[in-house]
Amino acid sequence: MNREEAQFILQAYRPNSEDARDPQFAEALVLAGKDPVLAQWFIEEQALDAAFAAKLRASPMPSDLKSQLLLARATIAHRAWWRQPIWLAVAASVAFLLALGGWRLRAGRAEVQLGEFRVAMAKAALDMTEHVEAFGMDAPELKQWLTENRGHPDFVLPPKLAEHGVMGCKIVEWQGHRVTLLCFKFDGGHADIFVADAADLPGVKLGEAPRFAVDGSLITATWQHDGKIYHLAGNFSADRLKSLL
Amino acid sequence: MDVDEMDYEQAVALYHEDLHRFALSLTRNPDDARDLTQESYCRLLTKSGQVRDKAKIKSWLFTTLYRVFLGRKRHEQRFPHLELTGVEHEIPMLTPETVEKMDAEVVLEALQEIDEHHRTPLVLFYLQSLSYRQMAEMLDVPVGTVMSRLSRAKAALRAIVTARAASVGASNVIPIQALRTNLSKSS
Repeated sequence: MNREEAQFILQAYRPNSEDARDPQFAEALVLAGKDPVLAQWFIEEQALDAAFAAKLRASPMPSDLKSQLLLARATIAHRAWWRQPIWLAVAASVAFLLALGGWRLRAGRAEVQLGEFRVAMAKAALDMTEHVEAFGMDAPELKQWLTENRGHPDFVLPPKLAEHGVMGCKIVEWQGHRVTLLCFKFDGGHADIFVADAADLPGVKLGEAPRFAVDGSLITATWQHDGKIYHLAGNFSADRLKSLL
Repeated sequence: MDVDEMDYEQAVALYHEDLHRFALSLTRNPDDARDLTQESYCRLLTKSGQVRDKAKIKSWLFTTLYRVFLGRKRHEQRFPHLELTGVEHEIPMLTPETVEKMDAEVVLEALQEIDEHHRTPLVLFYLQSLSYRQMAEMLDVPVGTVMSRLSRAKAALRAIVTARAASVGASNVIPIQALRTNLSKSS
């Protein structure tokens, strides 16, 4: 290898990178160690490369790009979850049951209303254009957002679930009422809690103990606390979900 | 392999800035660069099964971004492909101090004057994001071709920047003698 050949190779060398372990540079580096002229050229070449690299890295970076990319995960993962056939099947089956007049008669008005509520929330979750309206907020910011948007800032979450933090939130309209959606993502799972005023579902009587429903991989839990109805839908296992409530 | 939440967040934290810089160098437009970056991460989420090895997420992202860019470009109006030749023997004198004193904007504009075939390996070289083997796979050319293009691109950038630097203190119209273009297809 002569000096020109070494220069051609070394002009591509990037210090502090994996090039140091790349065998194609080894011989040229050895030659640079022996040839003072080549060594001086190499020093100047690297200094110029560093100056250009610094300018390239100085290009302006959109301040919200990172948060948008992180939000994309929540939205796309959520879509994938809800678009799984089992979720669609469940929504369809609930709708089918609601359509059965005999079932309506047996279940009673309150159960029908609760069923309608669940279906509506499932539909809201299927709306992927804006699954959450606000995200990346700490607790005070979340409460402030919910206050400003007439949601339910005084919601109370089970402590173990609350530890995971609310990923994002949204206000869902249901039969003229406002329902707060709180989105959670953790441990590879996804869950939404819908918070509604109990007065908006008159006749629905729920206790503080969650009422679980299991249908395939769909797990829901519904309970009432301090004048509010909480409806949780998640893709966690039943045992995992119960451990959070 | 599925990219889990931790992988994705790490991939965003570690690579999104360099990916955006790379996208900006390709598109020359901040909005398009943002869109390309987002599209690449979107594909990571929806097509993570294509990433067989978590260690290859970075190169997968860069390659995907580049291919998305090329795909979109095919749908756009074609322009004559300007190719750099012969500049490697006419590298002008340029010092690091001169570059350091220049606005980043000027250097980035100079970079945009280089044709895409040469600009791409040059930007990847400065970002130090990929190995030469990964670059070669991404560009679908041999490693030697990557290095040849890099050599010509560096010479071209220096020629353009030298001319820009000279224009600041001399004239508004500086012929770039070192940069010759023709319409031939590159290697």
